[in-house]
Amino acid sequence: MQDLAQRGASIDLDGVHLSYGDTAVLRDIDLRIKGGEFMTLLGPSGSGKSTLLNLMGGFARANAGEVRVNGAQIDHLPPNRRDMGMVYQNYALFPHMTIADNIAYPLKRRKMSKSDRAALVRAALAMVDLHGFADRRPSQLSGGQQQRVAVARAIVFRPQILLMDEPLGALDKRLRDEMQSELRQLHEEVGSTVVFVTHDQEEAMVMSDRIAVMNGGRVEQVGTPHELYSRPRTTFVATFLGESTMLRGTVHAVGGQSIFHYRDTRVPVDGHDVTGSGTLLLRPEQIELSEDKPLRSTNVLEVRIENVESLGPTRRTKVTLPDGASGIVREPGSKTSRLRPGDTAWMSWQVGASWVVPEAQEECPHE
Amino acid sequence: MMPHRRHVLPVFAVLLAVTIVLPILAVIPVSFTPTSSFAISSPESWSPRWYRELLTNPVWLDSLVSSLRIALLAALVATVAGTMAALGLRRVRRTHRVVARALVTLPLLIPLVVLAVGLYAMLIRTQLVGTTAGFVLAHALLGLPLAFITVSASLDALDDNLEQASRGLGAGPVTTMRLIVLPLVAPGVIAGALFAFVVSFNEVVIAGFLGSPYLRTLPIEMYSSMTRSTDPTVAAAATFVAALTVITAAFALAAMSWRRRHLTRKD
Repeated sequence: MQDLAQRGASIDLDGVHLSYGDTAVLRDIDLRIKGGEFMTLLGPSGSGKSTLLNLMGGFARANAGEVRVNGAQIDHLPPNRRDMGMVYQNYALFPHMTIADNIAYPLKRRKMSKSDRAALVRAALAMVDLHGFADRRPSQLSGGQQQRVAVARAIVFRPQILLMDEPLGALDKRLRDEMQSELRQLHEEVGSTVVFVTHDQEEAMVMSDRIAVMNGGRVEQVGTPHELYSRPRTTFVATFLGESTMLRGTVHAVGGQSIFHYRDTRVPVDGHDVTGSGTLLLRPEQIELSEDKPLRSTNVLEVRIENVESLGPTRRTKVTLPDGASGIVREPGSKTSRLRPGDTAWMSWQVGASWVVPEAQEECPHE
Repeated sequence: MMPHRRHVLPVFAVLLAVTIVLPILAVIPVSFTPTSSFAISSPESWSPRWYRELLTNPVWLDSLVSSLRIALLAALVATVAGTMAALGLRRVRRTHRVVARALVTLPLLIPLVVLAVGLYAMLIRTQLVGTTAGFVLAHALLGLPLAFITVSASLDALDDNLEQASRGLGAGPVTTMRLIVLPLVAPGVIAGALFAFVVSFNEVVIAGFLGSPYLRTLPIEMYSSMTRSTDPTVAAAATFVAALTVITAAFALAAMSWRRRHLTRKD
């Protein structure tokens, strides 16, 4: 059987800028994608993530900046000479061709011999678990099967780069979960660099080696899922990747140490070069709630319970902070609690858990 | 007592259908008459006499052949131009597209007489009155909006990502047009061609202006025959025209519904 394994190519974007008329869609994007990496472009709709993908595929043209693959500039190449596999949300299978002809399409364009073609089509079909479907038409397949065919068609010509534009967006939740692990596995097997576009942060967290969070045409931050979750650099990234409690205050440097001030509370925060106004970020699982005031005096805030949701393994409590903002606490469901909406309680957290984000210059809406 | 509401609609539909179809059907018994008059004959006495006349009398035969030739060429020109216009206008800015679409479909809305007078004035300068080329140009103008509309409808149903996918998979713009776009809009192209053919084949007003003693189309021959005499060949010609129209339109509609059935996704 033919081997579809491949060494992924690196992609570098330098100062890429793209605007339609007066509307800037991509602003000054620098991004390094390593060969073989699974990189996700994550962002709300209108953040420019699909445009960025189209730019890599050659379907959009930058006004400034350049795109390099394995170090070679490719901006002048038309899409058909870029050798990248592309998968779309609506599959984009050719409806007038059989499954086998769809998958053989890129091979025929490369003038491959009939016997080589047949072997590769078989290998690709096997890879996505669709043997026996070769002679069907796309309309005879379910959505999940059609997407598998689209993936097979994208990998069959052994591209070094796979571009995927919300490929799982049209599938239902169960199928999506299944396809997520299949795509992950496929990535391991073929080894191509994958650039994956999604607006679903959970999907991004599950699948990616690294994520580039996009907002308003900019890349806000690039990092591993864990880095982005625990060390977000902007409040946008913090809110887009999971829930959090945010304390808005100021950071002062006192004798070589940074102290975060929130009302009467002082929290030492280390390793931050933030001064001035900032936001202390706490993830729901980092906070503890208690009915009585804990003994230690720092890292403790008096809050009011807004509501309590029991989710089985965890309990999610929404609280009101002293400044009126709300916070989210997630505790193990096994921990007993008598707290009811309207009660006063104390929230505390480990000093080490504190992470300060500089005050955002502009508040950006997100979905 | 009021008839049950359930029965009203079907009865009305049948009445309407009969009203529409009856005059068309009425020419059939006349066309088979064995006599030389416009009499409705009974089926036992039916004869193909007037069909033989239609296909052997040089006056009738010439006009029939002219009509077929003009309609085929006009349909070809209209379909090529209409398809190209539909393909080209997809890539044009919205405001320009709206204006261009209105212009292309204008011949459908302008009274035929106005169009005929204008065409006559133009074609007489270029000495194309009474020529096949003149007829083809004029009739192509009528067929153009039809081809444009049917091809545009096919294109609207075409997923843009298919072309992108084809490009990304290694096909250039020409190959993409040949292997993806054209096959997928082919039913629209075929339907447009058939409609354009029928419109040209049946057209009377412009043909009346552009005809000459040496070049007349079948509808014109039928019209002048009717004003001169009661030659039942007219009925045979009319039956022939009606049958050709019905068959062509049926193919056109089949082509359009084939696209819907075969090329749309289930889910």
